Amino acid sequence: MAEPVFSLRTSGRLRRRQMVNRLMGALALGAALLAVSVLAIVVISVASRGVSALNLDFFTKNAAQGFNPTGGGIRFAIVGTVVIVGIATLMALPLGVLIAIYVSDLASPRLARITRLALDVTNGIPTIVIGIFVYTMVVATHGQSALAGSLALAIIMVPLIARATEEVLLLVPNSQREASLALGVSRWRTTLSVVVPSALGGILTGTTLAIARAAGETAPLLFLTSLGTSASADSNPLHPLQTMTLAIFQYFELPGFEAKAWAAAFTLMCFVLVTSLGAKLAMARYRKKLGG
Amino acid sequence: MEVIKTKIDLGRERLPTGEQEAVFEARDVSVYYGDQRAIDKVNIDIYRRLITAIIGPSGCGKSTFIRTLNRMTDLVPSARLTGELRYRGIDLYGPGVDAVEVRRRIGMVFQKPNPFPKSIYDNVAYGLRILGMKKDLDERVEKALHSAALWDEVKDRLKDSALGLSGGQQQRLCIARAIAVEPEVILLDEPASALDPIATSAIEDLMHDLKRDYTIVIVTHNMQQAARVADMTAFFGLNVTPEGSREGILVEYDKTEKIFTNPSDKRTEGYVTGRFG
Amino acid sequence: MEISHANKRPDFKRTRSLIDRIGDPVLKAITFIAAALAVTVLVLIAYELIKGSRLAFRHFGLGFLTSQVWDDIHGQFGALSLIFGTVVTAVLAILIAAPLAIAIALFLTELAPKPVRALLGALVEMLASIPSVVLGLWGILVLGPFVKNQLEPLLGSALGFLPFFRGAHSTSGILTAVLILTIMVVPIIASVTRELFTTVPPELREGALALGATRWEMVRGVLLPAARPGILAAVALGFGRAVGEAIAVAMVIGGQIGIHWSLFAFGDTLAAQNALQYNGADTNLQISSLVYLAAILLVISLAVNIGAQLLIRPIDLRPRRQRIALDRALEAEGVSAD
Repeated sequence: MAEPVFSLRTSGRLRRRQMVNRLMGALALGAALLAVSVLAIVVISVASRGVSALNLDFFTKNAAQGFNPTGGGIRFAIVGTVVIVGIATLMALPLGVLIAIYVSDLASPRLARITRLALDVTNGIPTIVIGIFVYTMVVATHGQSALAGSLALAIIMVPLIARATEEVLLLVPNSQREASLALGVSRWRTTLSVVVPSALGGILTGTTLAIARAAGETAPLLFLTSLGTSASADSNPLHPLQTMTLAIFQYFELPGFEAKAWAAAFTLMCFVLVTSLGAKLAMARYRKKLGG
Repeated sequence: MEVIKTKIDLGRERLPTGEQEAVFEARDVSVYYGDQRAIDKVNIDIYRRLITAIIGPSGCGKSTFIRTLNRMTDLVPSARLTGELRYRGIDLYGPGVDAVEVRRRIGMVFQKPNPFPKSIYDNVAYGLRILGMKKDLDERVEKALHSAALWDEVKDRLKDSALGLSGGQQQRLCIARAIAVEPEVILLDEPASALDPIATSAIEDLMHDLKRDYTIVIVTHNMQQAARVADMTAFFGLNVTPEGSREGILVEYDKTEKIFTNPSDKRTEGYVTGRFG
Repeated sequence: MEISHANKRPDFKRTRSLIDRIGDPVLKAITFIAAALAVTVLVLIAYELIKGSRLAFRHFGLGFLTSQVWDDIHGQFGALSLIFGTVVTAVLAILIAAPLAIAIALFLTELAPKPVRALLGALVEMLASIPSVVLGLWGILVLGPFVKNQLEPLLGSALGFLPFFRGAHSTSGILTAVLILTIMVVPIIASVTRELFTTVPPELREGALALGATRWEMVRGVLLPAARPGILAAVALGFGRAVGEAIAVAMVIGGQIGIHWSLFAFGDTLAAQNALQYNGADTNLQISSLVYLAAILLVISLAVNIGAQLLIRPIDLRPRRQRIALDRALEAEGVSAD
């Protein structure tokens, strides 16, 4: 057999090119590992400092008064977060879904584009600016309240819910709409009884993501509820209620409150990470189901 | 109830044999999408309780035409219809005619089975519930499934998701869903094109049964299918305008037998003998 | 042929109930109002901020933008050092974050073994969902000491000949803020970039690989150019996020007015200043000046975001492509094939 006149092995210039290739691959791997390690370091260091301060009292008791104010728990902040985020969700969910229906099923292409742009731009506004907006519009004249905080969070949540909902509404195949319309069902009933129910899973996960995001917000609440005044320990939305995030922000510079800050941070982080991860996984599965 | 009465009326008044009543009368019907004409001046009478097949090459506007019959074309904002299209004497596109009401009476089944992601039962019950035909819901659902020759296969799993059915079963479910609301006409837009031969023949058998109660219009690209099921066949052809755009025209319309054995138009003959298209 | 339609003329007008018939316009009106509300809020935000900053504007005019003073005792306010701090921290964070994020996106779409892609992607995105107040707390109490005791001495000894790496070491300051912002921005850029890479058609990749290109050459020659406008938009979005972050920055930057060239020094940003002055503001002028800062922030973020949207629109077609509107589908069917 004759010797082959060429070789398929790497040599010379190709070897250099492959080394560059491998180097770049290694750098990309390094970047990914770095990001994951930072996540691990943050989570582990918050957890290791936070867990030790956790006990039942922390969740079930309000802040202690008097001689030992570092004692007690953050029940009032948990209640406040639930109330403020809950009301914000009640405002943002219907609005977001309605906007999504408009954009995906009813609007002319031009108005749909304008609405989408408005949502995306609102989503990009720094949250503290939204806080200041609600401050000048509501709080400056009516004083602080949990409701003002809910309003700011709702403004943040609407674009998130609307965009997520729109995405799943558009995944509902048009053949479903046609099937219903061909039965002599009017458009609006088709939308409400076929399109929206098909997209329900996506709407719920989108809303869950928005809730996780809102629960972790501090900046938009700064001037609106509780900070600078004494927080109410009740659950009346007209009172300035405390939230988990505001509590952490206040505790971190008070001597003696560090352990509580860590415990609150750990609790909040767990809630936000678990819900947003769960919602994202559910969303991915849902998208596959509808899209496939 | 008005709906039921209509049904009984239909049963009673058959015209004397030999003389068929035209359900649809199309006069110079043209459809435009924006500036482009999709079909040009179609004149056709579609007869009651017959199966009328529409055949023709791709792009000849046969889907567009069948969609004009229940005003599904309304869903395309740029679509425009000229000429006159009468349904039992009423101008379908006349003033005051409600497209939703039109579609209630003239049902449609699509190319790809499109059951809702609901249970088998809820798929059939969907239209009934929304249209307020809630009395005897169970019986109506069962009757529709019987009529669609699906009852025996699904009676034990009515609560299961419709998406678990085979393609052919899904398509028959879609037919059941359409006939549950008691339409007068059923339009079938290539109902078997996504199905295997066995499922296809089940659908064809079903059409024969449905013919007793309904006027059926079917678009198909399968000539054998048209020859097997249709009483009347309309052949749509492609016309290339001097400007180079393609539009559909009705070339020939006659008894199916005539179309397939002795067509009067050369173009029809070419198509059915497989010389072009 | 004359046909009688005597007693069975269908009446297409009357059988539907009133509710059924008015439902369409009603739903359209309600959803339109909701959409209009979303647009209105945007306009209202701009209006309120302009109104709120009018007092400060009357006092300081555009000179507000070029003055470094922030003196609540004498009622003298200016934004220059805050604008400086905002731009410096955001730009530095982007300079570190953009290459990292693009590398991560490349790893996730091109190199990582298929089974771990989704998991790794989710982990990187989790970084973005850590609440900023938690990251701020971690930044000052965990990252801060590391910056003070390890990073700053190291930088100081290696690069101390530059003015940027001089001065006393401390846990808080511009460097810590930059690092925290980097952590916040990386997942944002990475996830958008990753989406972009997955939309590049496989034929393009295969074309390059079939020509004998290595994977990296394919990335450099095909993938990055194809995704370039989108990557720019992603970077812009990340920049917008870095500019607007208030809480985490407020907790780690040290909160000091003045322009310092050293990364070790304390600083302040527009957003952080607003967060820190929350209950310190007691005169109308000071409050109005804070609103003025917010207005500047709004202008920056609007410019960045609208710019990014314009860049991203022609690229980000993927979700839309999958579900061509009913109209177009029907139209295409009617016109070209059936």
